[in-house]
Amino acid sequence: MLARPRSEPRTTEPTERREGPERRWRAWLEVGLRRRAGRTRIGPLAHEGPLRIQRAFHPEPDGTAHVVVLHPPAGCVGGDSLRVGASVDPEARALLTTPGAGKIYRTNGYRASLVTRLEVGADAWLEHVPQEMVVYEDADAALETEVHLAPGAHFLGWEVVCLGRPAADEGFETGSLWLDFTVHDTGGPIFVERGRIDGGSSAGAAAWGLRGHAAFGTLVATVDAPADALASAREALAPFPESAATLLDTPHGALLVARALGPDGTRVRQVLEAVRHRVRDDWNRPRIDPGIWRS
Amino acid sequence: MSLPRLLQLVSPALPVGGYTYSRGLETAVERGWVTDEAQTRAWIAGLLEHSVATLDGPLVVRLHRALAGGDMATARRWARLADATRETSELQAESRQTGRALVRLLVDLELADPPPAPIREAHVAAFALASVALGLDADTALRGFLWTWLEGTVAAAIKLVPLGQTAGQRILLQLGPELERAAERAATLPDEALGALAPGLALASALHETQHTRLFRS
Repeated sequence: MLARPRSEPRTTEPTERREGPERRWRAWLEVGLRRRAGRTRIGPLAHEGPLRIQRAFHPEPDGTAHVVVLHPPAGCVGGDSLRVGASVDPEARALLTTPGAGKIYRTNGYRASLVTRLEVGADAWLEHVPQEMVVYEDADAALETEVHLAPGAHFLGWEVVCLGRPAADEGFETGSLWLDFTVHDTGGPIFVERGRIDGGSSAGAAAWGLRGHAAFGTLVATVDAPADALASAREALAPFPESAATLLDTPHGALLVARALGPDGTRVRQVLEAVRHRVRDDWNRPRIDPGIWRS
Repeated sequence: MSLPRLLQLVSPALPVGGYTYSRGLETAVERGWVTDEAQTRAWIAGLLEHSVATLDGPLVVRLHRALAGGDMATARRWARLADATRETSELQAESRQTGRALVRLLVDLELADPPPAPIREAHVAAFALASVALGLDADTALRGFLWTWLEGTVAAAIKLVPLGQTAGQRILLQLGPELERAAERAATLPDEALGALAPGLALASALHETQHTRLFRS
């Protein structure tokens, strides 16, 4: 069923409340990334609540800033609202990731929302590669990522979501997920993957839906040599039967899109990591992963 | 007067090439995801409820409203969203090709002036433009659109699965209530709920690009 009457109160914004047994966090973080003396560095930074960033790491020869967004509670409950904004100045180069899987726990009657807004300046480069998001059984989650690309901007981003916790033998019979992954150029949207998956609906088992898999992921990247990048991505995906790549024609140029289904978020992310390496080849940049993924 | 116009718009004889696309079904059949009448019905009913009723149907309604009211800026915005929500190269090409073919027909028949790019490049926008040009109201346009989708997908399934002609007609009959529910859902869906997640369909469509033997263009 698409319409779930009991989802109505869930979407109601919680009242501002900071104390009591159902403590709810409204945290936000805004960071600017700018190029100085050959390296991209953290510029203006503001935050409130439990969202932080570590200093920028510079593991790449071109001075790309690898920035880890920390959410020390690691998980969200109903009513939590996390907002992350990052703005990459023209010609700066950055990568944003997280130290581990995110978690959205069982709802307390309110929706938990994570909103990420990314601005990529002219001729700037940004990778947004958070680790997977685990949406627990009976969670009510909204994940929204909105990306704005200026002319000449390069971008790679992914969303990896696991519904329920397969390792704990937990399914996703009563949870609900609203996902919105949108990329804009200056004229409007160029890629929109948006929709709702309700636990217990036919989407979980259906051939057109998750095909019985708990986890799914989508990678989107601007590519410079589309046909070669697509062939290379397909080669990387060949060992993984439940995956595929395609190209979309957009006003910002070609977008490579890769999708995968899998038994858990880690496995799906690994599939997309293989595609990311191929996009790095297309960008003429080394296949360097953020150090935090291996620590 | 509106019934003959509706029948003309939703007829498989309308020269826009709609019957040459399977929208991922050809791959779903090749991979053994859809093998018989029951699975065909489940594929179609699921996509009708979870994709067409929540994305393309509501887009037709919004585009019809904008175009009927002469609000070209809003129509352009919805048409651009329609293009940006196509999951794969083939689904994007299908929407653009059938959109262009339908607009060309309308212009050749002197039923419409050539619309700006995003509107002629998205099938849902072209369908809404045709509906307005033929004097169909929004509800009729929506139901006509859903029927075209349903009948076209069943026709592809008859060739691909394959199914007998009677089985195809049985699916069309059985999905009557689902079609009605999809129309109600599409007509009332709020903007913030507009969208569709169908990962299996997106995979099937992308895999179709490299499938060895293909009868259909998507």
